[in-house]
Amino acid sequence: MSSLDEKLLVASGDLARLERPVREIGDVFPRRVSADPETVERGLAQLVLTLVELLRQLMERQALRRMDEGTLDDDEIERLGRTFMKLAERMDELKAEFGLRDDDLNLDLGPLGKLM
Amino acid sequence: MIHLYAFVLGAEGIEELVRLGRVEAVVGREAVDAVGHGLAVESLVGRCRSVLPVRFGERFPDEAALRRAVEPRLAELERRLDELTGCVEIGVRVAPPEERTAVETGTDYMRAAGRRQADLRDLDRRLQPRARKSADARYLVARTEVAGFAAEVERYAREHPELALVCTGPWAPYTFAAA
Repeated sequence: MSSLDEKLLVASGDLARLERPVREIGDVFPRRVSADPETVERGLAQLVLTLVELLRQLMERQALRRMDEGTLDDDEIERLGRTFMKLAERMDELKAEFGLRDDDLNLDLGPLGKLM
Repeated sequence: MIHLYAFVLGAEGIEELVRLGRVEAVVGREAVDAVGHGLAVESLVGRCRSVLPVRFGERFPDEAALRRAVEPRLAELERRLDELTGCVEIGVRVAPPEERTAVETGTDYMRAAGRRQADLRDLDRRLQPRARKSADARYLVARTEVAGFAAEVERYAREHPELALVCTGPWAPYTFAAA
């Protein structure tokens, strides 16, 4: 049986940022919305913020594509940039409030893989 | 009960095989969990010319039932196994710098986002010529090209010390098993 330790080809930079979700692969349950009243609020916040983050990323990519195509003028770029910047700041505040980290907003859908 | 792990071509030193013409099915008699299934599939990578992983949980009451289920799809399986011959899957994961650089204006924000995206596109552009196929940072690479592929990732990582980057493999070609 092949060892999984042999599967690392290249590793570079601050790996803790990548390692954390890997460590949690075997730990699916905390990533589900728990019905326990103590944790249900945090679980729902995680779910909602995950969806907001997904939409933010999609919109940002769409905006970048339009920027590349040259279909946005300078004012529009500035306005969009401000909107994304404020949204990112607000997301940081909400994450801090619910004790969530960036990794928590990438729900592990089990066999379907990661959401983002 | 027979548990199906993978379809393979050119198996060497594997005990539990059901021969279906040129294609062979690698099976297990004992139930395993998802991780056991994954490890069983991975153990085939170095011992077969071509591996087509089967998703976890495919099982049949006996060998005859397995044959009945597979026989209509045999030509299709052969075609896909031929396509994957000599190839493995390699994954690349990149995390952007964690601390957001302070930006003053919306335009700066968009430019920074654009640079991050351009960096990732650059990595993909450099890896494409070394891969047969790619999908969402997963690459299908000829076994003989793995070292060159890893060297290219290494070069990119050195040019971008601000990124956290991990490149893993060689894996069985899960991403490219379908279609």
